[in-house]
Amino acid sequence: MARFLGGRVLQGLFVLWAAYTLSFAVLYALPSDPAAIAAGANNSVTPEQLAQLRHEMGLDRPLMEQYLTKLGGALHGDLGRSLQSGEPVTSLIGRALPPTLAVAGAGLVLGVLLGTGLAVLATVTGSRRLRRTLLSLPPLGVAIPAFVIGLLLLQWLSFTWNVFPAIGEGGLRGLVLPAVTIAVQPAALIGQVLAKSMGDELGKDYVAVARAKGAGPLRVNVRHVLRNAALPALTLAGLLVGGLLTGAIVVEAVFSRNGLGQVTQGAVAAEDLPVVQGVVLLGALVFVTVNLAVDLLYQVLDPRLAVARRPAGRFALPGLAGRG
Amino acid sequence: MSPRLLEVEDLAVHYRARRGPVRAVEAASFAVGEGETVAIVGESGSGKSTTAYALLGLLPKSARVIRGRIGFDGRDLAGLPERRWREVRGREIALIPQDPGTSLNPVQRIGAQVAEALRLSGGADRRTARARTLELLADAGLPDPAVQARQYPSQLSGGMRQRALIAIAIAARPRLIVADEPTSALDVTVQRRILDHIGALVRESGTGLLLITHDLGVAAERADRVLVMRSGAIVEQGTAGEVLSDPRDPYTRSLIDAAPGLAKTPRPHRVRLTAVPGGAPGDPFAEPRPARPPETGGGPDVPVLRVEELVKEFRLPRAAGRATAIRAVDGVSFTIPRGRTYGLVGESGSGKSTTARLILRLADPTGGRVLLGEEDITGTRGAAQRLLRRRMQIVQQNPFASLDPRRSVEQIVTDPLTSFGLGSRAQRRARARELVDLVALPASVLGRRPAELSGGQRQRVAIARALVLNPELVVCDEPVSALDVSVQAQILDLLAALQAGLGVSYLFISHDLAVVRHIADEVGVLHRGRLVESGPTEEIFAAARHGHTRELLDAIPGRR
Repeated sequence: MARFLGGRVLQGLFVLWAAYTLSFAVLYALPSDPAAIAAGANNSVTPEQLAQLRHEMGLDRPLMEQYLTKLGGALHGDLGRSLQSGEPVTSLIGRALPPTLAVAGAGLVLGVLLGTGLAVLATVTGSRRLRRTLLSLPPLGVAIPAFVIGLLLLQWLSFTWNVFPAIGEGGLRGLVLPAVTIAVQPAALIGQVLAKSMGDELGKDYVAVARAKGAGPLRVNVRHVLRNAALPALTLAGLLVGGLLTGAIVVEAVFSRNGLGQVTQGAVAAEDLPVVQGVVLLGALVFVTVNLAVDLLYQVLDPRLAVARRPAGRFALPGLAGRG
Repeated sequence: MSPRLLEVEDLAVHYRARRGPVRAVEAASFAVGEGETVAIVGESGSGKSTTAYALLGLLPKSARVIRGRIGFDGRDLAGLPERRWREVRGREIALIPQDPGTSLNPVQRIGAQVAEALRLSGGADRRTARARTLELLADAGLPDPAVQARQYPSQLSGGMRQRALIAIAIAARPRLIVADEPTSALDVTVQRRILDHIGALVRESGTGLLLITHDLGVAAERADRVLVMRSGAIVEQGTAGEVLSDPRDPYTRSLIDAAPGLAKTPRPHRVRLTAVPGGAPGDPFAEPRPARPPETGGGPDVPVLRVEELVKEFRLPRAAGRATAIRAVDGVSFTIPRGRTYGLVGESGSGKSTTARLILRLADPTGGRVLLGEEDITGTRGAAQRLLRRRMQIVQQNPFASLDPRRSVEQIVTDPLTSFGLGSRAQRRARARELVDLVALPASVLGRRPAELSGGQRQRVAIARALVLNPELVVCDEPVSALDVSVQAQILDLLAALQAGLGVSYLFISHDLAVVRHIADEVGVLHRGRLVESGPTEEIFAAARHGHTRELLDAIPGRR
């Protein structure tokens, strides 16, 4: 287990390094001048001053040297400074992260709950009509863009009925509409995939045995089917986390919230390269962490994966186990 | 007869299908007394499993009980609402399912699954469930209940899993157990132990047992009364002795003939080939085979295959204080003469499939030699190894898994020709037609996909594919163990007829000596990787020397 974990952590570090390097290569290949951006739209800067600035920023040194210096800094937690404000990238992102994490996290939790609920209800219900109705929801949820859903929610729940605040932080109440908006797509995808694999699992022999024990539909579905059907949905949930960050940009724009989305949008528009790179790196870090967690969850959900890794089992040998 | 526990009258179950209702069960009437064992015998599609699942209220959604009465202990279960069924299932009527490999929840510990059966039936509360679970696992014959209770299904052998399922079935002390082909996925030796155990349990507790099986040998040996089912109707019923010695229905007669264990001597093969196609070994479109094929470098007196001191070791993951390798195949030697059949018999894990893989060069041996004709093929690699496929082919166990479901039969059969670029498109098409005819399938199957064929038909397609290149040797790895007994007999007849017509040699692998007897000229018995006995088939049957061979012989249903 420790060996497995160690391997995965090394793999994760590699992914982070690759993300850093790739973003460095792409961003610094852009035909923009960081020094000019740092100097601002101020036209009074003389070419001499600009050259001086370039020297201070190390932009006149060879690209490889710049890369190594920056990578060394990154290893020590220094991602450079924002070209616009001069604030360190880490503190800028650190300040923008909590509100975004709150929205994205709430959205993910809500999405998983809604999707699972939809799949379980559609599988358990005896009513054909209800099942059909429920299963027609996911395509709808995927088809409607998040900002449309956000605007509709705003229109009804804020402007017409005034149930939730339309803008700003506003604590937990202010979190509801953005989280619902961001949750719709993950909920739809998870619901779709989970309902499908639960349907497949229902045809398995062990379900007949569970029913033959006298188990009712709720018990059969929740105790037996759900856990067996969860793996594909879990894989999907891990992949969706990446999409949540993108979703946050849209949602923060619609609901006028501060956060990472706003920071990213501003940085991209102003070609503030260190900030953009910091966001890319953060995305990679989140992705690596979430997928490591997903891998660990796999083993909790499906003991066969853990058993297969355990040494010295005669059943771990392919070609010898399984038969008979 | 003992007082009646179950009384089924005029039961009819239909499946909804696109082309109108499928009448799976029509007018079935039978009874099971308290503590009585009744067997329903029939082929796939005869309606026996549908009957079994109707008794548990576990029919699929597309099925409906159209008519009839399921009288159980004075009540009528037919048409019972789902909620009321839950009080019957497990507590009164329990199930032992067909395939222990898929019938346990793979992500739950064995103990939890048994305890669930106890809790649902009110047989134990949270405190007593653990102790009762261990008792039940012990009753079901698991060697070390405390250990197995903590294990997951994937850590147990097939026989042990079936014992866990038996523990689940007996958890609530039901009055009737429905056992749906409880051993057809298991080795014969394991089958015997499991059936013995179920028999002893129901005798002790006075539970009624409805045993569903396709094997008349099993039914006759285990049941007080035997029902024979065909096309949804019960065509014969009586005591086991009556049905076996004086069958009234011709279908029963044919089932008796088909049961491999019931025959006292090998059955004569009843299939003859009408036309024998030409071609050379490895290329059906070449000039007819010369007297001494230079490629194989041997005449009829050179055996097609010689295996010498074959050894295969599997390295185990490193673990403290344990052997680092196990010998799956341990010094196996045998010879297959041209045009003959060598039967390799053993239980699961005895090394027979590994031996087959070594011979086919799908795995590398740790030691020993494999000679095909006079050529040593032990070390072949790359292109030379690929060319061997033209001379050796395989027919696998499960025709449901060994055929690509998305390809037509014609594509499947001509696939080996296409891979080696043999013949023109028209020639290949003609060859497929020829082969399909040879394995006694109508030409109309060529355009169909495997899903539209029955198990027996699929296995015929797999045989056609194996023979399409005119191989010298075909390795048949348990080719009939996934099939009904009546279909088994047809496939065995076909294999024998093909051998007589084409002169192909077989390595026939099986866990069932009774099956091997009908096809093999010589038999070798594998036990833990070693060949413990080898000789002409009838000699082995007449006077087995090794204890393990005798155990395999005793396990054949219907021989007692």
